[in-house]
Order: sequence, then C-alpha cells, then structure tokens
Amino acid sequence: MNTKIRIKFSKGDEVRFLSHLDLMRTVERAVRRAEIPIAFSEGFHPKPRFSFASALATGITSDGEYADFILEEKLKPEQFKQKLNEQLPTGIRVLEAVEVPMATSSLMAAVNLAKNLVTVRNLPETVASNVSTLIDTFITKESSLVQRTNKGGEIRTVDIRPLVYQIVGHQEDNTTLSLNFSCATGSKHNVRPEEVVQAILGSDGQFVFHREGLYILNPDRTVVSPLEAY
Amino acid sequence: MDKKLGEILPLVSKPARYTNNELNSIHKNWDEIAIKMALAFPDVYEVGMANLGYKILYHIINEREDALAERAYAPWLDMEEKMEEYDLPLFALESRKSLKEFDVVGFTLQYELSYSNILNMLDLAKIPRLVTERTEDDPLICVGGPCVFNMEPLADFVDFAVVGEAEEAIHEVLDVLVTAKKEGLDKEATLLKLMPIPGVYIPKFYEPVYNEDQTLKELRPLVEGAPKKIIKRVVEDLDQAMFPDKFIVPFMDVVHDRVVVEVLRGCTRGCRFCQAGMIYRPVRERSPEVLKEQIAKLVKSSGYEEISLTSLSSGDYTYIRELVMDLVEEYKEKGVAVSLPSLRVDSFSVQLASEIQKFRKTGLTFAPEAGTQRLRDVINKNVTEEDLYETVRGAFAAGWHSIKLYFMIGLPTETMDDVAGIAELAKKVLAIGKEELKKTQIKRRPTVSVSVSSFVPKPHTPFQWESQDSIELIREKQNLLKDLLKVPGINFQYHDVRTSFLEGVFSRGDRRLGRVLAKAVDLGCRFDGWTEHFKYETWLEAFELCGVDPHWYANRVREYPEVFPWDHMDTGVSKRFLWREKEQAYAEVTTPDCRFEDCTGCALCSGLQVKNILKKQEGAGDEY
Repeated sequence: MNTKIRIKFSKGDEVRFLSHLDLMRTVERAVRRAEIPIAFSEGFHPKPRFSFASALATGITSDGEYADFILEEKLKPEQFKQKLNEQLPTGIRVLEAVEVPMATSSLMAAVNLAKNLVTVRNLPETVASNVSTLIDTFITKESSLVQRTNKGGEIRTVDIRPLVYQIVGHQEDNTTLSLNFSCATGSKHNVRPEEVVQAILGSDGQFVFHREGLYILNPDRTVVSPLEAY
Repeated sequence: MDKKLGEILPLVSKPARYTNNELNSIHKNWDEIAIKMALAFPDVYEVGMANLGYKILYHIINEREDALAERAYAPWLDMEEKMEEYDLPLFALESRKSLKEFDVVGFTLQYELSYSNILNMLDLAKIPRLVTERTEDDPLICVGGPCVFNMEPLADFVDFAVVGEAEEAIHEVLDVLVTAKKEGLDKEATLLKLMPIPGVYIPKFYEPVYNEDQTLKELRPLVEGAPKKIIKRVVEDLDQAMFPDKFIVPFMDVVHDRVVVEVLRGCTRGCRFCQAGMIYRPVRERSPEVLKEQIAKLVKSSGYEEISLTSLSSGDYTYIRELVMDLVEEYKEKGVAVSLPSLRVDSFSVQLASEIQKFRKTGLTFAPEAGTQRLRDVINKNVTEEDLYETVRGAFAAGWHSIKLYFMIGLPTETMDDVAGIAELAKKVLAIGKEELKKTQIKRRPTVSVSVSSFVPKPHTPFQWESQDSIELIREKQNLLKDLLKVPGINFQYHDVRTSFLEGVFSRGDRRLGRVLAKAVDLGCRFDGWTEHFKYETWLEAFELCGVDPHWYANRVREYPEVFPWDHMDTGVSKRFLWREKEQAYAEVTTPDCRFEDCTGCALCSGLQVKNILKKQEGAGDEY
C-alpha cells in the first residue's frame, strides 16, 4: 500500500543559488541516503516518485516550499521528517510533514498563490521615499502589461495587474525599501516577482527575493496552507 | 568578501559553481591547521568535479590533522569580469580565502589546452606567474597529473611537481612542508628538503642547454644532489591504496556525476599512440571485495543513482562480469544503475552491456581507432574487422540501434586509403544494422555515429618521434570523410584541427614555450579547450611576437638520438623499447599484451620493482 507524505520545507541562504533541478537532485539523493522507502515509477527508467509544488528560481530563498512523496511502506510523518533532515545539506530543512490521502490533488495543481518579500537596494532616493505613492498608482491601474519571451523567441503580452493581490511597502533607508505582496503562481497563471517589482517601481535596483510561502487561494477567496488542504 | 560575492553571484551564469556547501565538502578551522593547500583545477567547476584523482587527493589531505585542502576552479568569463570589477581575488570555495593566502597551490595538469587557465588563475589570485618573481609571501606552486610527464612548457611557473601516482607521495611532501614551516625555513630551503623525495621534480634546479640546431643538448642540474632522472611514483597494490568513502556531491549538474570506483589502474594493451597506456603501467587490479565495500560506502554517503566502474579498460578487469552482475542485482531495488565508461570491441563487451542496459538500450560506443587492418596493426590496436562486425552484429541483434565509432586520423604511415577505410567500415556497420534490425521486432532504423579526432603525437609513446600532420592535410582528410559519409543513417563528427595543433605543440614542448604561453594569456587566451573561446589567430600572434615557430614542435620528424625535454621524467618504460615499438609499427607488426602473453621488454617491472597484479583465484592458473 502506497502512502503519501506532504512536507513543508525551507531553502535558505546557503543554497539560494541552486536551480530548481539542482534542488530536485539534492532532495532525491538525500532520500536515497536516508533510506526512505520511496516508490519508483514504472517503465524502462524508474524514477523516485516525488514532486514539488512549484519551481523556485535560482537565487531565491523560501520559508514555505512544499513537496509530496509517495512511499512504498508506511512511515510516520515525524520519522520521515527526522530521517530526511539528517541527510539534507545545510540550508534545506523539512519544517513539517503530514500524511495525506493518496487521492489528494497534486501540489502543482492546487498551489496558486505565493507570498513574497523583496528587498530593493541602491534605489534613487526619490523612488525609495515615494514607495506608498508608487504602490497606490499600481493598485489603481486597470492593467499592467508585461512582455515575456518564450524559448522560441516569441513575445507574449500578459496583464499582471489582476494577478497581484496585496502589496505593502516599507522604506528601510534612503535607498532601500522592501515590498511584501501576494501574487498568482502555478500552471494556470504565473507572475514573476521581478515583474511586479519592476511594474511598481519602474526602476532598476539591486533585488533580493525571498518567498515567504506558497498557499492555496480557494474560489471563495479564503487562503489555506497546502498542509491543511486535503 | 562574502558581501561582494553576494552582490556578484546573482549576476553571473551558474552561480552554484562558486558556492561552497556541497554535501561532504570539508571545512576546517583555518587557524588550527599547519599547512593549507589549494587544489586548483584549471577549468570550470563542473569539469573539475569529474576528476577522480582530484577527489582522492582532496580527501587524503583532509584526513590529516596538520593539513587542509580546499578547491578552486577557473571562473567562467562572466565571473572573471565581475571579479575584476569588484576587485575580488580568485578564492578557494571552502574558506573563500584568496589562493594567495595558502601555503601551497597545486594545479592538476590534465590536458595541454588548460595551461592558459593556470596562468590566468595565478593572475586572478594576484600571485606572480614566474617562480623568480614570487616572494616568501606567495604560496609554493606545484603540479601533478598526466601532463607532468612533459611539463617543461610550465617549468618557469612551477616550484615543484609530483610525477606519477600521488596517494603516497602527497604525505611525504606534506610531512616536509609541515616540518619546514615549523622550523621557519624559506622557500629555497624547503625545496631542497623536498628534492630527495622520489618523484619530486624542481624545475629551477635544472637548466636546459640547447644545441645549435635548437634541439635540447641536456637538462643540466644546477644543484648538488638534484636527480638526473625523476622516477614516477607507483602505488604497488591498489587494495592498500587510500580511497575515500565519501565524495563531494555537487548541487549542480557536473560531468560524470556519480559514484566512481577504479577497478584497475594501468593498461598493457600497448596501443602505440596512447600515452596513458605507457605512463600508468603496470596493470594493478583491485579485488572485487574491496570494490564492493567501497561502492557500498559511497552509495550510502552520496545517494548517487549511478555507479561507474572506471579505468583505462574496465572490460579487461578479471572479474568484470561477476562484478557487474552482482552490482546490478544488489542495486536495482534501490534505483541505482551501473555503468562502464568504455567497451572493448568484442562480443563479451556486448554481453556485459546487456547486463547493464537491460531495458533502455541507449547506445554503444566502440573505438576501432583506424579504418584499415594495416593501420590498426601499425598502432597496435589489436582489433580485426571480423571482431568489429561480429560485435556490432551482436549489439544490433540484442536490441541496440545506435552505435558510435571512434577513429583517429593523422596516424603515422596513414594514406588516403586508410582514411577512406573509416567510411567503408562505418557503411558496413550500418548495413549489418539494417540486416539485424529487420530480423527483430524493433521498428527503428539503425544509426551509426562516426567521431573522428586528429592524432597528436605524445611524449613517452612510440610515436614521440613522429611528425604531426599539418593542419592542411588533416583538413583534406576530414573533407574526404565528409564526402564519403554523406549517407543517410550515418552521422559524422570531427574535431577542430587547430586545437589539436596547439595541443601538439605543447605536448612535446620545451621551456621556451613558457614565454609564448604568458604572451598568449596577456593577449586574452584562456579556456582554449572550449571551441567558442579558442583564439587561434591570437595564439599565432603570440608565437610570432616571441619568435617561436610552433611547427618546429608539432610537425618535425625527430631522430632516435635526439634528447627530449621529457627524457628526465622516467616512466619506467625504456626509450629503447619505445623506439623498437616505433620500428615494429612501420613493419606493421603487432606486440601482444604482457598480461596474457610474454613480457614485451618495456623494462618497467625490473626498473621500478613492480609487477602486474591480476586478481585471479588461487589455483585458477595465475602463472603465465
């Protein structure tokens, strides 16, 4: 009987420059070292069955990433957490683990909201001191168009305004400010944090991105953690 | 430092190359350690992390309480630019300290085309390039690795070299360095203490003297006691040799990212073009029990999904079949695969490959090396046409549909007929593929990839006296093959001949090339092994400015009595044997493998007091 374990984990400063693939590989190897009874896919090239909620871009830290693991044998979530943490390199920590029913919809399909914290340094003083005005201007806009280039070189225009939900700005010093905001993430609608920051500030600074967490935004506008939604 | 790096890293490609928290990396307390050594790999991280010798050394040194080893790599060009902009010197990954702060910086010499990166790395670390320019505040610069067997082009930049296998020698070197530091010896005195260690070569204690015709007259020792010959180090018994039970597991995708164990060292097949086959003799096998134990520990400590059984020719390992079958059985439940880096051209190899790739038959690679039997006899590649046909027939019949064949062009005595023979062979293999695949259920067309490199004569081989084909002639041969291989189902790849030419110049170069190298780096050359960064015209300019003719090194036929810049490096294989092999090549006579037949008289075993070690069972006919 297969079981499904869902974890919340963090990606810290030490491993911020790992790409999504690097992180996947690192977790896969930690699972093998931990001798966790992971299930394998069928086929010519069996792969361990685990999946992440969303791809976290290179350079971004996070306090709330999620992953599902399919196990061949039952393992208590607490034990799973302990075993995996013993094998994960510095900077990656399992914060919580729960067992969820096998039928729970995949993280990738469910997670659609990301809370972000972006620190922007080396800004012109006029920008840094005007943060609340700039946010208000953005909020009152009907639309905010950004252009994206796909791998084939095609350019596509996307309106990100309806995909950004809450914005709070805070001036740290003359040239530094921080922005807290939620935005759509996932396969259906996706916004890159840098698109939001650029749309609001309209200026280049030095960005440090951090994801505070991933969530599920229900149709009734309630927001829940993936650990509670099954 | 950390702050600067934090600002730079988001701006460069693949920043994980420059971070430092990989699993099993070793971070020691800098202030408590007597001797700090940086292991510098003159290429990017993902290439350097693939090197087994480098991994072994890292762990051997770090096992000592009085020494530490850290890693440093050549920064990619975008990183180099940022480091200069932010005034950040080249640093070692673990402590992020500048290379200049180390006691010793060791560079591994894996291929000639990485030499420009060595000088560039010294520049980036703000360490003067020349031994004569460095002060007591600079680290000692040492080198090791296969190209040490002719390191004269680097002689002006290197304080000392360790020739041959370093597992034991590194301890002797470190012991001296620890004591020397304790006693407060200066560099000169320290080098004098290192000099008596077997395998240690100190270039500045020798001076080259040239004949009027520019050839070398002698390498004259300048210091009393400097050995005339530097005898390479050999680990007698691999079962006793230190092998780490942990490898660093990189976060990013690197070349050969897997558990690697060395099933045997050395090769006595005696291919006449092959430097590795000459410099790593004798053959020493590890016993299957030791290998299995090493693998078990490494799989556990790394979590890798693949085990590679590496060596110059793993198919020759006495227990290869048993080992492969045991490992496949033991690790299949854990989702860990087994792989062999190279296959011999014989049906046994196909059986082995079938064990490994039971389901996913990705492709098989064989290296006939030359297109005609005549030329294969010349190079002593003991593979017949029938061997090859039988082997590929077996492979296609077993379900493979993609075969890759490796060849060389520019081999001594080669004619256009030999070159055309490559195309003939490839077409025949394709025809066999069509025939065999028709008989199976596989509804795929066979494909044959033909990969052709250009031969570079190497020191310490029977072909060290040969002229390298000119660029024009190689191009002519490549064009002939291009025409002949315009066949559906055959895919033809070849190498840039200009890089082979530069490799040829440096592989048989002497100290006079040091100036050219420095000039080329000044003019912007680095990453010469990367086609997109190789600057041929700039290299020619450097030769021109230094008044050095590169063709004199690459394209000149040498006579038997000529003294070579690498003659003082004693591989154990006698120069007389190499010359005899060269004559046998021209007579198209092959020489057998001394593992299985009579001694070929290379003089190694008696000279170095070593012997081939094969792991035959007791009483199973181990006398031969």
